[in-house]
Amino acid sequence: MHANTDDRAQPSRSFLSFLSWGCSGDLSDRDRRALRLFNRWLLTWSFSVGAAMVLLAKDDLIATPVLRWTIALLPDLLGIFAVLSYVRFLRHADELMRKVHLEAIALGFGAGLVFVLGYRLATEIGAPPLDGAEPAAIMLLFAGLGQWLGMRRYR
Amino acid sequence: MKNRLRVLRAEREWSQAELAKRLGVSRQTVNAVENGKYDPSLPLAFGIARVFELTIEEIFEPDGSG
Repeated sequence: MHANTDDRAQPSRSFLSFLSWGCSGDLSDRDRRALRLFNRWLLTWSFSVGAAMVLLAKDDLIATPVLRWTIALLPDLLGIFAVLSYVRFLRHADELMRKVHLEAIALGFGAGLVFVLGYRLATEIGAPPLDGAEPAAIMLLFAGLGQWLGMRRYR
Repeated sequence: MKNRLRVLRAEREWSQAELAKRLGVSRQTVNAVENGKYDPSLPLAFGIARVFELTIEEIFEPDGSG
């Protein structure tokens, strides 16, 4: 007995699905809205971090300490909203997608932790100190890898 | 865990997408459950049983004797 032929039909890949590492092919409307909101916060946050770095690098342009602190802290506030919107997305997401995302987060967190502690030991034998962004990059890289592996595993 | 999801779905001539819509999950989830790659949560297992008007035991069967 055979099921309908559209079982293997692949959903169209949108820019939205690209932003979520290709795992949002057939999201429910609610998941799609939640993911879209997260992606907007993520983009806003990323843009604000870049803009803040450019502005803070120009000492002569913005010299007031209060304004400099405001510019430095504003991206953090936006980042908190991005994280909260991701938690909201996860809480209501389709259960398989939630599993894939949580496994990916675990991989990213674990890789970041191993990297930080491992590199701490490496500095004892002469490795150059980190500037702070590397662990975040490692975590993001491995979280992305975990999501890709997860979607392949459950495809 | 083994299951009869593919057979039951085919008997009703439902696509994976249609079953997914009835269950409120993604098509990937239905596909992963059918292929035995993913064991559904208890609420989803109850949802599947309700959609097919069967009991959970009539759809799912543990791999081992237990």
